[in-house]
Amino acid sequence: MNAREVLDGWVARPAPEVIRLARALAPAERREVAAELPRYLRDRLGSPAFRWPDSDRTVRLLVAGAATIGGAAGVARWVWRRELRSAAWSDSSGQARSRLVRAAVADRPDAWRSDLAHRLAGRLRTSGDSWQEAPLWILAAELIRDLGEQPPVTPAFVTGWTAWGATLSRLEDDPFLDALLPRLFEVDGLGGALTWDRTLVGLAREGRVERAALLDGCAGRFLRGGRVTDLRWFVRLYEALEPSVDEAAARMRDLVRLLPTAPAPVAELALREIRRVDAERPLDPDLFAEASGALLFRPEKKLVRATLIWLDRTARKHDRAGATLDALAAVLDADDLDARERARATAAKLGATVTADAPAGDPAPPGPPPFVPRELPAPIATPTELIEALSAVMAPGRGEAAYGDLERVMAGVVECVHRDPGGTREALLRLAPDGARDRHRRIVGESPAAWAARAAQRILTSAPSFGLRTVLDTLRRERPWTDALSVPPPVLFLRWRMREVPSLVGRAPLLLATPTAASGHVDPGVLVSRLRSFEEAGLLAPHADLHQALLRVPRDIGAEAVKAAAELRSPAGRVLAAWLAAGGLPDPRVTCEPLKLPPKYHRGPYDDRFPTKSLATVRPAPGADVPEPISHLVRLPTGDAWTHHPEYAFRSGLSGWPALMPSHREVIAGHLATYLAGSEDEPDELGAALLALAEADGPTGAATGTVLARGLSATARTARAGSVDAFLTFSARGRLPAAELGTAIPALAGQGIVKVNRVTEALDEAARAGGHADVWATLATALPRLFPAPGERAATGLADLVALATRSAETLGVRTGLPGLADLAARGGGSRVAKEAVRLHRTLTETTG
Amino acid sequence: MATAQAYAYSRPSALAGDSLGLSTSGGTTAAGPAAHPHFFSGLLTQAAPAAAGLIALADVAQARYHQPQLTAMRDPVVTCNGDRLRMESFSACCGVYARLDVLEGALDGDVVELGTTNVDVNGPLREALARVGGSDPLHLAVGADELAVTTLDGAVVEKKVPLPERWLRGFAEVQVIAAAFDPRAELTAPEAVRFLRGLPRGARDVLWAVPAGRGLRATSRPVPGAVCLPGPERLRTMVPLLRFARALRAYGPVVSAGNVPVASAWELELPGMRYVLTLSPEVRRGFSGEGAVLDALITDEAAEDADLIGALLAFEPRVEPDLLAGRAGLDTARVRAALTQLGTSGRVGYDTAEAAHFHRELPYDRDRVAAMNPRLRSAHALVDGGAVDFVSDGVALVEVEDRTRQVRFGDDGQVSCTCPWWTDHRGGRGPCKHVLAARLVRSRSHETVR
Repeated sequence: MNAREVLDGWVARPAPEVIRLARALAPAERREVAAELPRYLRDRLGSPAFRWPDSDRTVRLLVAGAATIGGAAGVARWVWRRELRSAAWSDSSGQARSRLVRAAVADRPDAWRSDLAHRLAGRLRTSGDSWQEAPLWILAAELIRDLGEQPPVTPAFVTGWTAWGATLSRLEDDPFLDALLPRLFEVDGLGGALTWDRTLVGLAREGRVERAALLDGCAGRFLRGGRVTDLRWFVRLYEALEPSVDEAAARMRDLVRLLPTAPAPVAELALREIRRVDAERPLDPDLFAEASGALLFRPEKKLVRATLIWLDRTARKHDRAGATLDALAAVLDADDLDARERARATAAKLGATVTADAPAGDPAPPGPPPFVPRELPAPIATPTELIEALSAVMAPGRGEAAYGDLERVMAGVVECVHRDPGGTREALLRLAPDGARDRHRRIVGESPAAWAARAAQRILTSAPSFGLRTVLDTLRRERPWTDALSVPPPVLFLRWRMREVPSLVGRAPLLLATPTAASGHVDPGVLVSRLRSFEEAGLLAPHADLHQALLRVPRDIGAEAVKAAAELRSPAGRVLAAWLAAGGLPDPRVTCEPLKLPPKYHRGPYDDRFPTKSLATVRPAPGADVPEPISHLVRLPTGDAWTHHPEYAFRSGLSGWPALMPSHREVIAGHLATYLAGSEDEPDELGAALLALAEADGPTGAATGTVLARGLSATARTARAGSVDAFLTFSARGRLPAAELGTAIPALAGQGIVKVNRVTEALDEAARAGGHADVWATLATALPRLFPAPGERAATGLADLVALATRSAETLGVRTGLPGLADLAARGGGSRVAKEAVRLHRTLTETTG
Repeated sequence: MATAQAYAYSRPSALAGDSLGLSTSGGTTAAGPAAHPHFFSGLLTQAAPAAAGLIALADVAQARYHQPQLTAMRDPVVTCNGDRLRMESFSACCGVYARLDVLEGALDGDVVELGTTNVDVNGPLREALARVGGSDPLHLAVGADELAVTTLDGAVVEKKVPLPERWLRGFAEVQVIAAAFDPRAELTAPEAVRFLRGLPRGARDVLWAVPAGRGLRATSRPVPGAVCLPGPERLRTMVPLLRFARALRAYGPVVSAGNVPVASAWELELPGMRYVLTLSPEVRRGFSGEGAVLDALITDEAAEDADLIGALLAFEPRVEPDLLAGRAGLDTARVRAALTQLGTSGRVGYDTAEAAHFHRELPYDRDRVAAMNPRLRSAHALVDGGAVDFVSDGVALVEVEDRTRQVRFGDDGQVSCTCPWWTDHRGGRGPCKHVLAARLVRSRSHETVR
């Protein structure tokens, strides 16, 4: 007999036939076929007929193995083979396969089949590709059922039972029900997909399953905890059983003990049950103390309120005023003003003397943390350091971080080559980061990595840079500002300057505009001496670099620098001298307001969906003589007025924008506001950009307010945290545009871009960190614009914002009214906004300090 | 490579009535290896927080934070240090280490033996622990108590869970990392509640927390004095303990502006006990990749010293380096290096609250715990292959697969490299293999000069 030929014959016949043929073989022949199977499968896996586990031929092979392999362990391994495992696309396919395999092993002894079933069950996993395991669970379950044995109670088998048990029989007829039902409450991760609650209730009514076991099971599951999605099913089951007061009372201790940690839906159920029992037979004092303490400690306002109502209604009735007062003590000074007032009212009703409103929580620090300027990393001193910094900037996936080190690296390239051309070239040749080593490769793209690579490439080109290349560079450099509508002007300005740097490598001794402070400022004295070194070398000052340097002089220039600059003789020197003497760039005029305009890609005259977005307009100061390159930054939009919304493509490097104009941050804020208007999402680096604005200098106004409002409402946690940092830094420096921020929040909320609840969270954090004064100033402007008109719906989260205002007003002792507040408070109503308005109004009109 | 760990308990841990029996598996005692060591019998005076703390430990042991899905549970490790019981667990994702220190104040009974082992935690026990409340004490037995056997019977328990090498290494290595931490912030109970409850749910990004007023405030970037909070979600097991909280303390390494994310430890003080969580620098990064130990492992001297110091340890709750130095005849610096070495092989833990090591022997195969770090293995391969070339005293070129990396030894003792891995982590995950290789060559040449 040739096993391979036998198998060739089998796979061409229907599976029942295979079983018959296998039985007909002598034991030795069976063994021979079994031994050949793995090889046979492996050799044929490539052919289409065997590629898919569900094909007829693989099913026949599966059956052949089950019929010929001697040991149960071997059969379990065979049917578990990935190549033969089929996904149960339908219940019937799983059962059909199970029927065939069971028929194939039907002639084995019971103990052998039991062994196979348990081995299969033992291989099941609770998670993973469970749908692939369905046919195997069905096979194991049916084998066990055929034998009339008890099922295994492993978590995986129980999980399988909940998922696929229904394909074998109805729950009431299920032979596994008694054995597996208790495990339903113990195995983790069950519940989310269960649908049997009605059936179980029915079975309990019929007496088929024990009602007490179900209730105990639920209580046990609640105590063990789990995911809310899973526990909800047990809550449903418990409620569907409609326990009597006796039944609930018997589980009172469990229900109380789960209060501290159970997820909200479970705790709500427990509270309902406790109240139901308590109404008929008051809780014993220890349990009452435990329950009320645990409930009032919970963070959910809804649960706390329900508890306070329960305490209020039962204190006298159940004669436990003392115990109630003890419990209430925990919330008399709660942050949640609603809870605080309810607790105080109940306490007063019970005869306790409640001290007048103490300020909520702990006293906030008196002011924001002091502003400490960041330190600038030391400049690059040696070629070895340069290689390291270049590697870092050019490493893939550096994203925003690369912008932070850009200035230092570019300055490093220029200075190192100037100081030690041989050493720098040698170091670079040795191990230039990939990309910069090939001196002839054209590097494309506009990113810190590309800019650095182009500059580094120049270190390797030994010839002095004259000739065609320089001309080309110059042409590229002088590219006009045509794409201003899709690329934000600050990005264009940075690119323009970065294109200049390669032509300076090997020629210029240094870069003029390299910042001397982390804000981006260049010390004017340093700038004058830098320009002098160009004059001494007989070199023309680089055009873009000079204009960037002009923008980076601080607002306070100092007479000495002005005097020193007057001695410069080159044309660039004279420009600088005049610039410094004039005190730098006169403050441009920046406005920022919501504009209803057609979108860029307007669909024609019938499209009337004109969105409103807050756009900035930047204009040079009247009469100011602004050099041409700089004018691109202080003219937004380029035309007379915005005619449609700009649509900027996504850019990284936002956090570097403020350092382009560190003395005129409102201009940069204008560019940021306009850029952000293009999207409803806030980029992650917005926090860093705002911080950079806060650390820069110059007036702040509507544009800064608008960008800050976007940041405080950002979805990304890092962006929001950075915006809070920026708020506090502005505040510490006395430059927070509170009124403008207070105007921007309602305006952007009206556009559906800013979410009041997120702003509340951010401002709350700022207040706790010492920013109370500016938070109040912001809210004093924002709130009147957010108050709903009669009959209007309030913005989501407004109540919490009003509550924050109350806390700030309490802390600061503010006693000035807000426009519209008295009306809103007088309007009354049951909403939280109305109640918080009443509270704020009362705080602001209280006569006692 | 995952190998399985088999736990064998003579019966399941259980809570019956008011007596809590924790079953022990094979471990080490002061007298040597023991199959079911018996450490403690007596009263647990603070039953409710201890029960909640045990549940929290079990939750950590079962968690895989980067991919929320329950996993096979590795039983907590219990150490009896005489005046306290320490229970440790380590998350399946290797990123969170949890320890519950039950201190003298919460224990009233007899210490039978000192040592370390595993304790069984099972479903019914969890349920029973959740039922513990009120202020009544519990009778606690850790290990076989002859009296308890009669009341708490049950079948022998055998469990098998996979024990990957990186898990073992991480469990050991986290101690070494924590040894570099200093206290950064302390919050009162109400502030602790506010801070922990205010953490964003499900957040896996890196936050930095700075003291603000009496509390902590999340900030967007590292500043001096900040403590890193990577993946705030991973502090969630503290929330159920908040009702017992007395204070929250944060520990971390020195942080400067522009720092990459770092590990940190968060300690919740409870009545008579402390619950500590140590978090890896990022949710997706386990402790085993941290490489903090590599500098200590590089010399052979440390290995010999570690053998010597290891022999002197006797399950002390606080290891005093000065004392050990005297007894071993080594200077304190060498004792510290030896302790680091012992930490990497799971033989000492570090208690940030005491700022001291404690002796414990992780009840796992010691050879596997101490298996050589793969990065160190690569570094040795580079050195053996002659890939390291010092072009000057402070600059080495390391040739790796037709690429060259530059390792620079700064004047301030800082070492840096040009490989992308270094660029990303800037030393935050220990030295890269290039730096290690350069160090190996340098230390050898220095020795030959001498």
